[in-house]
Amino acid sequence: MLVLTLLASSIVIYAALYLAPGTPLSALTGGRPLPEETIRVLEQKYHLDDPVLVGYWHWLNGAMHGDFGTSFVQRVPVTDLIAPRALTTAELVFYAAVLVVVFGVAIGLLGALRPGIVDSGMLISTTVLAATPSFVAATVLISVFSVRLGWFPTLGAGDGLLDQIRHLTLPAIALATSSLALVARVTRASVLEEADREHVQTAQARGLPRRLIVRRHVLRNAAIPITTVTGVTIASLVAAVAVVEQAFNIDGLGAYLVEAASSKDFAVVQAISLLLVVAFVLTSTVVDILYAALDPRVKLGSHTS
Amino acid sequence: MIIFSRFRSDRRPHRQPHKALFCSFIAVALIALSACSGQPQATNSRGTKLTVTTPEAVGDLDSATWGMYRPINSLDPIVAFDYPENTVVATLCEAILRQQPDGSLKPGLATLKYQAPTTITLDLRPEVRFWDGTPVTTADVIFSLQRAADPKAGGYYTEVFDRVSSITATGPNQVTITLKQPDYWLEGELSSLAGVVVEKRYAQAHGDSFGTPAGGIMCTGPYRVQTWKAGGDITVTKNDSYWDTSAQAKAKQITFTGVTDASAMAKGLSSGEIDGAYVQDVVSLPALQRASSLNIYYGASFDSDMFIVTSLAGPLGDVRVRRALSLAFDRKTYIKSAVHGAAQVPRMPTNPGTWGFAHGVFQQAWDSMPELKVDLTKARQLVKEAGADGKTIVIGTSTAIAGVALEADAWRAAAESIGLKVTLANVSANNYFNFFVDEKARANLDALMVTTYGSYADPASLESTYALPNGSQNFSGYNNPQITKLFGEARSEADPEQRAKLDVEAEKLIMDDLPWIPVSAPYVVLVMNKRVTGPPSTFNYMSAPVMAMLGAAG
Repeated sequence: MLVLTLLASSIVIYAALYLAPGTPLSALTGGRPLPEETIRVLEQKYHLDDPVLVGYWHWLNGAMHGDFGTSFVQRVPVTDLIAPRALTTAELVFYAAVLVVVFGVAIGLLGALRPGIVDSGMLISTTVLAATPSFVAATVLISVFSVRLGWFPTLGAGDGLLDQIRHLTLPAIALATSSLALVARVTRASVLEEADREHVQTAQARGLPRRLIVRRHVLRNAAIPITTVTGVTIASLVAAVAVVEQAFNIDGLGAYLVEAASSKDFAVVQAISLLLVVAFVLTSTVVDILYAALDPRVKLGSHTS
Repeated sequence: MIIFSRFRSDRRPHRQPHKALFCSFIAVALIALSACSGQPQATNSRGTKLTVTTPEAVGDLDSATWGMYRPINSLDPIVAFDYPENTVVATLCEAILRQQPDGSLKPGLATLKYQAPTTITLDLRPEVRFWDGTPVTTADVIFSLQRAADPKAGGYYTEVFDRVSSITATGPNQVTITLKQPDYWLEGELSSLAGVVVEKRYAQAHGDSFGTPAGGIMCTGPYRVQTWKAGGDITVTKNDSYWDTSAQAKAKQITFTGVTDASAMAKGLSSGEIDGAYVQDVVSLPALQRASSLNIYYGASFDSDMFIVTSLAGPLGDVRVRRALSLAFDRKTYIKSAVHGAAQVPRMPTNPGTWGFAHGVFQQAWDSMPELKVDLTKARQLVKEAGADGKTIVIGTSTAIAGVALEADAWRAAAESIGLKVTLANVSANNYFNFFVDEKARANLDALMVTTYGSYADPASLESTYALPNGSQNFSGYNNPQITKLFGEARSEADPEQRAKLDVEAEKLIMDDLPWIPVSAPYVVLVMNKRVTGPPSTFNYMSAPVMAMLGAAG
């Protein structure tokens, strides 16, 4: 499945880049008009004049042999460009995912179990946060916590564990905000729904401790919708990371993908996109596996779910 | 697509509000003096203080971070063409001649002499060493210049050598350039990236990887490359054996970081994470001015903000329509609102920052010309006379480049106010650059906007690219034999005063004909944290190792 997805994606990405108007040359020269002869030399050098199928085959052949090509803008192997940035992006997404899971579920639960002012407050704030795009969150966080209060740095990803955590905290919050709010709302809704079920009422009538009821009867059953939405939103973090990296000037995969796409740096776009596809597919797979663990009725490989 | 537009808002090659310079005669006189002394200040008509130098650094720095609007793509001088590459390459490498903060030329790696109008000798400084300790030889100089001139090398500066017939060694330390015709523009080019000397043996050994993170470069400057993450930050470290003992670097290491988003750059500067930057995208200027931790200097630039007429086949083929458009555009308001005052209203096609010689001649001509003012009555009259009422002009734009989009809207308003119709052809940022490269892409356009500059301080350096029939940026096929003749004479004229007079004559014709319509003459904006100081606040950073002057403030 993964291989087919990747193959299809690579064709779509290649075709889209090829069909988009403009030539990579203008990105390379930044719009500087060049003599004909120089243009021909550059086109030959970077295989920009190859027909589309030849170009794609050239790339595919290399990729199957583990050679993902060379960035024509930077003139270095794509793997050299991607490896250091992939780590940064993975750290950022992981950090944000932890925030989404821990705080999203906790806040949702709090809202569901504490009706009244806590619940209303939670509802209002998550409504606002869920509708807050990450670039807005980024701007607000930077101006308050970096510029005004000076608690966090505004730029870069940092070196060493502690410094990285310090650098990535605001970006992770900006990235997590709307997903976190969404997860909180779904958690609240499914917990409330489960809490209304007959077996929960029965348990209450039997005088079981509230804590036990919540954990065993409510949360366990609410876990499936929560896991689904958490999985989807975490996968979406991978896509949204470009915006946040841009705002915080973090030199990661997302920001570099945008840069490469706008300069039609084909090999780089292809490699990063495919990497993101892999990350997306893997996240979904992990969610599927979790279903099986959470609900014995779901069996891996069966189509009953 | 907010991501995209934020991301690319300032990725412009030669486009962008900038800042440059002077206005009164006093300013010019001060600037002329200033290369060696204090920090002269002058005030232009709008009240902006203009400086050439910043206070000299009193101490060394362990490290500093310098911001640029994007990371560099290459270190190879022959393909360096934009603010970031120029800034870094100029820090590492040196050219035959050295541009001074006021735009004048002095000997660099060699002393240049016109032995005859078609014979130039370059006498190399014997003490110059590459970073690896090897002396710079005539072979290195010849190799570097021939490489820059060779179209097969794929460099961007081949055309500046079009009058060169041969480059040969005529002594152990002497190179002679023989010209087909006299060429007094070549010395200016040899002070910019086209004249940078790299080590022949090193460049040949590294072939295609020369100038990349894998191959690196070998130059002579006050800094050498320490680490360079492809597509990311580059850190340079002091060259302890720099040949010029009087100009040793003050900061032990400098990290050049690319910050694409202008507001992120402003925040980085305000918070002190970035120590300084020559800021091209001035959208965040008000925020920078509010930050108490920063010093902001304004100085002379080579930049010109231009409205480019790309086709003479449409309504803009009539000079009366071009004049009418120029009269309809409110430059004062545009400069105030779009570039926060970091520019002046032009009187000549090119920025006063480009007066690298014969200041008096250029100043006198500037003063004799009127400031470009709005006159809608006259403009409407001209449009009527030309029979262009209700005709449509197509202006290329990109909402992904904030400055360009803003200016396009201003031009539309101006054109519509005098009875013309406007269609904006909106494309992506990259395709906007493509308009400049691909003739077919711009076939349906009448006009584009750009902020562009020449390589050295001579108005002709930029003007010749669009006002001459064979100019690299002459997209419309504009041809005025008188201008061609005047620039031809200027290029062959040995006497600077005389050359300036020829330039000025051609410039007046350009102002009359408006093959491109001048919009503003931007200033250089230098922003530095108060803990650092030193580099000049002029366009000098684009060609000379001025970062060596960056040090601790008193």
